[in-house]
Amino acid sequence: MLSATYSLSSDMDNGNFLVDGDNKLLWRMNRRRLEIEPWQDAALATSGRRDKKMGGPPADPLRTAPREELPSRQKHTKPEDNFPLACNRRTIYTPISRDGRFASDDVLRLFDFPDPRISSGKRNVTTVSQQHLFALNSNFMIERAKDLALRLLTEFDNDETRLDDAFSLAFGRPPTAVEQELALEFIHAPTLQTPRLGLSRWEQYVQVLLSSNEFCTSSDRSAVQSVVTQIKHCCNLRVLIS
Amino acid sequence: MLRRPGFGAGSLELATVLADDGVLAPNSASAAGQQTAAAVASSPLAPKNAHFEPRAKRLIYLHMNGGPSQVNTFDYKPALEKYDGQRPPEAELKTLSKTAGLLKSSFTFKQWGESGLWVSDLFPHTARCIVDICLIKSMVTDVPEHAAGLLLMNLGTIQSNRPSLGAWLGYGLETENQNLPSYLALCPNGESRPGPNLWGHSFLPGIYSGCYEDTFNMDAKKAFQDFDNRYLSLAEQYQQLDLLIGMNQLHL
Repeated sequence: MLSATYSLSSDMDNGNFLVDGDNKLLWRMNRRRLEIEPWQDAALATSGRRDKKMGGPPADPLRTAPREELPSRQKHTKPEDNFPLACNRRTIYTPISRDGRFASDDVLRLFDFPDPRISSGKRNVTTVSQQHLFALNSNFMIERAKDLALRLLTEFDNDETRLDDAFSLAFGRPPTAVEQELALEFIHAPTLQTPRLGLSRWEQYVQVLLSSNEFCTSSDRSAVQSVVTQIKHCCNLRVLIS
Repeated sequence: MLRRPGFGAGSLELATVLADDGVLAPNSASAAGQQTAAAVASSPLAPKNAHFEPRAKRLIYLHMNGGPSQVNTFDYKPALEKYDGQRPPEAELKTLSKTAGLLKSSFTFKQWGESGLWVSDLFPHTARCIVDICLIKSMVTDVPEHAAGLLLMNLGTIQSNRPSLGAWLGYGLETENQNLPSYLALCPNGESRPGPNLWGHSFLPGIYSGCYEDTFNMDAKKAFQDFDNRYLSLAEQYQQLDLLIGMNQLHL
């Protein structure tokens, strides 16, 4: 195998896909799932809630409690907004315990974070139903969806522009015609009447965006385009300031 | 292939579980239904063939922390009666605090049934069916201490950084029931020392870790993290899943 293979992009090619869907012959780079850290960070950043503070100890109120008063995992009190991260800072600032004391320990372990009691040569990748429950139902995901929807609804006044911005924030590219059609159909569908608290169609939609394969995997193209988008955003900001 | 990237594809797995349950009718989410078979086949929890044809169908492992001593239940030690109250040099363990010496069982033992196994009078009813029970009395330890003993029992070593028995079983055999984790650690009234490493996965993939459950609380919505959604109904979540599958198929 030559270095050309290693430098392949993960882009789709319909012809190759039909012949070798499993990519056994390595016609493209395999997409890699993001680890929990960049995925949570991306969700926080996309929803505009990431705390950019650098350095210092993890901001966890539980840490300041005397040891004997620390709640066990089952009795763990769940801070409403930022559970299970304990703060809106990058996941690297999440507290980690060896005895699974923090709520964040459970989430990290659910997404293949290595056991902190042993040295670990490599991170496993598992796909389990509990991970999906997290994406569907966790407070963290619902809050991020609310934040992102609010961001889109306050910044723009029509759904097409909002969708463009959502895609730009989440994937670093504009939506295709099919994606736009899917999205608008979903967003314009009536909200179902249920006894639950309810989320707006936009909130429901962006929760799906934050759980989608494209958001949870790294591909070279979107990495490059994310940088392009960030530069574009910086330029826009400069225009605004001047 | 479909399942490899992000856990967005995990929707297939959820769809699998729901389809197994009959919650998801085949035509209500056809995209999900079609991919069910593929998802089952590639699940890390799919049953695997053992190296040898297993003879046991089921295994129930009750780890009874703080249970009655073997010398009072099924392990008859006549020598203890002989040396009761004495301190033979073999019983002097520097690691433990001073004791009054050896203590004989305060219960009487009798042989029962065809197999003639010794059972104390603590278990008059068990004694009558002892012929159906296999007792292993050959296990010894060089760690006369509780927490380390628990580790030795569950991990096979007193170091807390090895996979537990249940994790190894899950790794080697996996589970026939795709609706549940392969390994549940049921701990009524909370976990005991030395804690989660007793059912930990260590260097095995995290999916084989014991799913800790305080069975004191049997309400599934409270017992399992993120089991329920306070905001959305199932109908709305199916719409989300359909959208997710549609979007993921555009991004293969």
